[in-house]
Amino acid sequence: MIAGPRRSGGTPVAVTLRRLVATLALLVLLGTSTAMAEMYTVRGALRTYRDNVTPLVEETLQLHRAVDDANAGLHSHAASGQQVHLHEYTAARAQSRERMATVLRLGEPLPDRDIDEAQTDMDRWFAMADATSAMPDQERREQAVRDLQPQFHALQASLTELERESTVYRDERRNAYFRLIDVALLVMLGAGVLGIVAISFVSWRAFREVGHPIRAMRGVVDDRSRGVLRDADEFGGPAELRTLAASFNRLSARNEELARQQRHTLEMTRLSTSIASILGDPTPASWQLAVAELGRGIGVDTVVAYGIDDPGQLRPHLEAEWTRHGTSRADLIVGSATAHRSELDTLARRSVTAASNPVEICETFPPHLAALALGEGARSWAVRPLELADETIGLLSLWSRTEHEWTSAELATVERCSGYLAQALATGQVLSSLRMLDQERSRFMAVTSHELRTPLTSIGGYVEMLAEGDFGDLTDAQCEALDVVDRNVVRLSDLISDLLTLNRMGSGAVSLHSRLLRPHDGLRRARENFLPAATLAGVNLVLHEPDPDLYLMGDEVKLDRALGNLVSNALKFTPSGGTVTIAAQERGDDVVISVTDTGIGIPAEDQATIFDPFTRGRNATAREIQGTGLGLPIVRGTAEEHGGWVELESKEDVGTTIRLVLPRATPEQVAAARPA
Amino acid sequence: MDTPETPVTILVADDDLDIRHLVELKLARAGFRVIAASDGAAALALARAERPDLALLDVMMPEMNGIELTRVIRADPDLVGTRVMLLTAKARSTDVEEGLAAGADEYVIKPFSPRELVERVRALLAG
Repeated sequence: MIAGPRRSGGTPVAVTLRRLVATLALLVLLGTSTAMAEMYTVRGALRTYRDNVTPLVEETLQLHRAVDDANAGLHSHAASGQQVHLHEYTAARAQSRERMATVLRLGEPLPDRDIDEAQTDMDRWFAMADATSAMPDQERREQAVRDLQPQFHALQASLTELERESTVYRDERRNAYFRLIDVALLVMLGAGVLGIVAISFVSWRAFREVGHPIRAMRGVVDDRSRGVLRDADEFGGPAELRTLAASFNRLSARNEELARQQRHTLEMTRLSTSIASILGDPTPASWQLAVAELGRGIGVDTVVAYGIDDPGQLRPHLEAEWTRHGTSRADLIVGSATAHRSELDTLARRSVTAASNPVEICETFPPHLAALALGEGARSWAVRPLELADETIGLLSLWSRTEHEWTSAELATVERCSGYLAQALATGQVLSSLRMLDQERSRFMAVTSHELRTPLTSIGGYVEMLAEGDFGDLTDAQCEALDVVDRNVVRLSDLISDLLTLNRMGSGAVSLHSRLLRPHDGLRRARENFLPAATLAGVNLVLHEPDPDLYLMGDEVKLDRALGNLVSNALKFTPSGGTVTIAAQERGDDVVISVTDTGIGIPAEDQATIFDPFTRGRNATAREIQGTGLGLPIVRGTAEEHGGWVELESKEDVGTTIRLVLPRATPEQVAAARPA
Repeated sequence: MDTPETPVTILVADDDLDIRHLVELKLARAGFRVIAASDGAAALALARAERPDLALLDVMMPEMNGIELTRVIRADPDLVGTRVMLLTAKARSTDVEEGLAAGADEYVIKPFSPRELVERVRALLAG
């Protein structure tokens, strides 16, 4: 009997089933054959009873009756002497002898003595009776018959005894037959009960053997589906189930491994994405953050990014480094660079060089570098060139003081990040050189402005003193000449100012001194400033006074200059008798400041480029109206610095409207700027 | 306004000889006593020696620039009576703010008109 899982072997389910079937077949065979044997025995007994036992009793009775008939015939013949009765006697005698023969045949089981006695008695009586019947004298016959009476009684007693014996024998046989039937019923009942017990036992055993382990395994599968990880029992139950459990465990382990790999790959992808976003800002600080993120994400001790100044010379320098504990030396390359350039070259040519343990370091890395790394305590190391457009611009080195199995997902991440890093390093270099260029330009402009303005100060100053007679009286022609010089000094000075302004706008080094402004005030100031010039030019300068409650946030000096540029342009290009109109109004969330003139207009083909530096309308050049082409670029730059834009509407010989569109101050800004 | 006995002394410091001469000439013609230096260190020495009523300082000068010199003058208790006017070719408002923050009373942007310069000097000294 099996109780609980066994630790070895395991019967195959097929064997268990085969055993089950064989046991059942054996039981059925045994039961059936026992029952059949019983039935056969009963059948034999029944036949004997029918053919032998019952006829024996009958024959015995008939024998007795035939002997009685013979006796009656003998007596009748003796009394009457009639032949009829003698015939009756002989017929009965024949009958008796025949019956006796049958009884002898059937009566085998009866005691021999009884049968022999009856036969002897009968033979003797008939012999005496025959002799009696042959007597011719009636009286002698009657006397002889009377003398025969005692023998006859003896015969009758023997026959009665025989009758009794056969009846007893019949009853015995009948009882034996009933017992036999009882036994057969008992045997069949026993076989049935045994069959039920055997089937129950075998079923129970089959359940123990097969059902229980299957249920246990289903439990394991259910648990797994709910996320509770446990292994199926590989050591209990039938062989097939053990095999199945082992396969299931292998499958689960594989599944687990795949899931782990998937999570790992996902983590690595996230890491790449995070590093890419860190490197979106191409500054050395973000390179530092990126290598730290990479080191922590992959789980190594040290990450170093090297730049290579001159790819031909392969002279690396540290661009960014990160170490887990922040104390140990991270670099394995710079120190050896000059001594073993060919080894570095080998690393730079490979797509990636990765070693998971000291043996692999020796096998994979060039000998001097491997020795250096092992000397520093490295037990795993990976180096990947930083490549940009097929050119190696640096190296990325990751190493640990512990062995580290490099997964393909990690190497893919290292590869991706090396790409981002290469891009970032290159962008950073370009940006820093651009920044240097920009600083250079600013410095250059500052120096130039100083250098240009210093001689202009002397020229202008001495011209003024000359013109004012500080050095003696001048002729009219000399005065005119000095006037021309003076005008050009002013022009040159304005040009320098405009150039500087434009230079500052282009460099992005904007410092807006924003405060709450009322267009109402600015427009009034502009009209006041330009009224003398307008009067001189014969142009009507009109101000449409704006709403005094209209506000914007802006740099007053810059906006005044922009508006001044627009008004002075308008006056310059409007012939005498024309009109220049200054206005400001609200438009949605914006304030629109417009300067409209009835001047010569801007040709349609020049309108697209009129806001570019040094660009002027061809009609302006044709009419020899002076200008540098810097005024409108400054206006547009000012609008853009304020988060606005400019709009141009112009028709040649009809006039021009230029609108400065600026964001209106919000109610909060108005409230904040107003003193309580 | 100016008496010959006590002429108003003005220190002019500029490394550009022509401008220095122009300013000297114009201010002398306007009746001021002018002393001149061509760099910041010399200007400071002269200022300490002469204690001028006004120092007209170029911002971009060798040795010590005009803004530093302004700070030194302002920090010197002997020179409390000296007013400072900066001459600058840098028109950027940040430079002007830096100069005023250093203690300058006034600034003039190059190129300037000598006549206007004299007017502003007079206005500053009168104020």
